[in-house]
Amino acid sequence: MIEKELIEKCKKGDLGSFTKVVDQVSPFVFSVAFRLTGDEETARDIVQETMVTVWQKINRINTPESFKTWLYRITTNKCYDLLRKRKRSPELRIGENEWRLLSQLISEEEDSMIENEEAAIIIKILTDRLSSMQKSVFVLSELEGMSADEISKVTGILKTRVKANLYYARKKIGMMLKNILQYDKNRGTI
Amino acid sequence: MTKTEEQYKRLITRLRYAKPELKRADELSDEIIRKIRGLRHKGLTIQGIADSIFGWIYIPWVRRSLIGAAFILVMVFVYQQVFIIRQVRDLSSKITNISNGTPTPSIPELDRKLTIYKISAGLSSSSETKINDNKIKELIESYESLQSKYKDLIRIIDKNPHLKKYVEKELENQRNLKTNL
Repeated sequence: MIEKELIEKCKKGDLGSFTKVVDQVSPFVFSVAFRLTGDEETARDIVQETMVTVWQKINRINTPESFKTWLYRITTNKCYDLLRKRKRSPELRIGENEWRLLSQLISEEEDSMIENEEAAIIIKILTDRLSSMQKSVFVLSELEGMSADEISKVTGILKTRVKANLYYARKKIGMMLKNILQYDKNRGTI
Repeated sequence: MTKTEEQYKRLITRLRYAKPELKRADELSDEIIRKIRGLRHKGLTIQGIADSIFGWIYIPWVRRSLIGAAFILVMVFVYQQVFIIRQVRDLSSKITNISNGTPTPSIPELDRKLTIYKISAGLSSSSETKINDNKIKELIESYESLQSKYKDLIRIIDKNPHLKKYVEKELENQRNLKTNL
């Protein structure tokens, strides 16, 4: 991900090198933060906070591999703290438009572009009933493509708990999709 | 694969490949650098001072070494305390042995005082007898000293058969004299 030389230069306080690091990793951090929080502005704030933390504590990093895990960990922790602080929102009201969007996405054979806002809505709908930990595990595993081992290192929870959380997340989302099928069926009968 | 599983897989695949796009990346990057520069100027804050004084503890090998050293210090302290307590106990028991002198049967203080009181009350003619604590102590000490001398005397007599015989004979004579009287 990041070259070792670049990390060494940042440790010495070279802001120019750190700017390169920011340019390289910001899109990746934004992706994780956006998928977890569902809001673009919030995700941008988290990117800022994460990169400032990285700058302040970069002396702890020795290898590029450990940098990646560490970066994921900081981002996930900040998002996780935010999700826990948020008051339990009232049941998400999924309107006609949301159902149509989700239904379209599932049924479409072509891979059309999904806008940020659309992706945010879909992820919100899918993860509405998930706990903060289940949501984190789901996003990191299913959307970011991380293995259970990697997620365990990032979140600090046992691998068995990662798998358990993922299982329940998939189960709940599966039930959500069944509801969509039902919705489609009902629409068809109208 | 069920329809739900198919739909799930399709949806997740599409979401996975639809990476959220970071708009105005340059602006965000500038904001980050500006914030970091701002932090540098605040280096003399308490946080900054604390970080520069204690920042070295974040170095992994330093932290591990400190944990090891702390553990060793705790063990040394525990050992020292155990050693000191043992020494104190030994010394206390020695002091007890020295102060006791020749072993005497231990009589509870109250019983002693009562016994001495009875003795002194019997000798006195007045109905009320006031006895000083110090006097009682003196009496008890002289009684103990007499008791120890008596034991020594008995030991000497036992060791010498001729003397023993002589003393027994004399005591017998005295008893007979008393009876006759």
